[in-house]
Amino acid sequence: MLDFINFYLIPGIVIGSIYTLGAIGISLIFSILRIAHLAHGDLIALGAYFALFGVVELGWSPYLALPLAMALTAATSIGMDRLCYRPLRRMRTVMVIIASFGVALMLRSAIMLIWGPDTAVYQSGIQRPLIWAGLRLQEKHLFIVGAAVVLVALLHLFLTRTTTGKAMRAVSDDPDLARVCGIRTEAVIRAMWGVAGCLCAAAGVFLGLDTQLNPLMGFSLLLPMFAAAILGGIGKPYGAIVGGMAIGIAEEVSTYPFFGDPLVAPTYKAAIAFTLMVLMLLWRPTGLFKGKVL
Amino acid sequence: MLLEGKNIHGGYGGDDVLRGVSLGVDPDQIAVIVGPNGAGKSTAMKALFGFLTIREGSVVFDGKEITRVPPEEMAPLGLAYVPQERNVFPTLTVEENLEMGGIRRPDRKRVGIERVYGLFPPLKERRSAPAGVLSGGQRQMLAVGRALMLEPRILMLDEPTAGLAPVVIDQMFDLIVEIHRSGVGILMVEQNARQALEIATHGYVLVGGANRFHGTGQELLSDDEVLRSFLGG
Repeated sequence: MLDFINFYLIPGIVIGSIYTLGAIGISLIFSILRIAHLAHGDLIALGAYFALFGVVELGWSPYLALPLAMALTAATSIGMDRLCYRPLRRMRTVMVIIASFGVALMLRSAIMLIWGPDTAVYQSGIQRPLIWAGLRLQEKHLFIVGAAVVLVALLHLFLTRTTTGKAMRAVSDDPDLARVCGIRTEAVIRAMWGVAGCLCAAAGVFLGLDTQLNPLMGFSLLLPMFAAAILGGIGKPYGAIVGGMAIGIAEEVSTYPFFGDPLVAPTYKAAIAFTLMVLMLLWRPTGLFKGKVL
Repeated sequence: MLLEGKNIHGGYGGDDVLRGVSLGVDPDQIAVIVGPNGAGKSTAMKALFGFLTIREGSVVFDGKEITRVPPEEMAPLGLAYVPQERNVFPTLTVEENLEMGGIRRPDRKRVGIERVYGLFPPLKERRSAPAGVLSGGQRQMLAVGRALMLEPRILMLDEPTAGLAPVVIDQMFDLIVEIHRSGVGILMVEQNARQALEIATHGYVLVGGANRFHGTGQELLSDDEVLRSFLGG
């Protein structure tokens, strides 16, 4: 039982937190712009590398480099929208989705160009876990889950307590009516990219802390994050929390040897996200929280 | 006139829906647009509010041309508009809807919300409910209340009584008269043409995207052809 918790459930919660942060961003972007943002994974990787810059060049701890990475990734997201997506705003959304694929390739190439194609880590060496009543708790895992909870809580406060957050929900509900009210859609879109960029950076830094950095790290997150967003109901940021945790935990727990052998060989655990996504689309295309039908 | 559209030609990008529409409203007027289905009544209203590509003609507000001003910049001018459908934010609470209505008047937020609650007590009771669960009448109250948050000089209403029960329709007309008495010009499209023209100071009859008749509400009500063609005899 303790093995199950220590080596399957806890890693599932950790990776679930990371998926959640990414899936919230995907859902938020979909709710405002009605696009599947295919550059989301590479934006996450960029966030991880921005923090690496803080760690390597400035000698900061990765925890301290997190706010720096958030600020830089938010700025990059806003700039990317201005240059690549805004000129296409009046065109069919499929154009913007294709453009986001182009942006994904550009971001990935930029990372390879600046930081090289090799893997990197924030901290080398092994950190001893805290053992508490048989539970093995690693400092980085506590930080990742704790920080993810704080970020989600902050996002909730932003969406329900601030005028900009409410305006974001208003634009998502009905863009025309938002304009009638005098809401400046472009300002709302900029704020949305700022928020999505911060969440991307956090997801990237957390993934880098948990494992390691490589230029393809974000791309491999794309499928589980989309699966999480769809599971929760795309366009519903709160659904993305449930979806992200469900996919993360399902992936890890599915490799537990329930009947002697691992239920699913670890090599295939990426297929779990895909399977859950397909089942959800078949059973209930709007997701658990009644999002939009893709 | 404070808000005036002059000889507007235009549409949604394809063929022109409006082929020479002129209409306007002053703060001391209740102007009603009537006409058969497909006459371009709602489209004319959207044109005034900046939602249309206007190919010819102009829209003037308070002496300034606003033909190319986008919809989101109409609110600061003091122009409020209540679309016929989808006129509340369904997942936002009642109070958040009102707040969005007054987003360009942040200094008047509290005053505005209390004023709307005074006007529509049922909304105050349901202030924390999402607008999507309101009844048809309450939703329409919220839509009008949201527009009043701007403290507009002109209020444009697109079929404010559509789908409402007869008793609620009467309340809505009473309310429109009350809002007008507080100094707000009203421009509305209305299916209940007879009832609307009875409270109107001015009436416009549109047919096929162009003006057909124009007169005071009483003139239209006593015009044989208008009666026969549009008011059912």
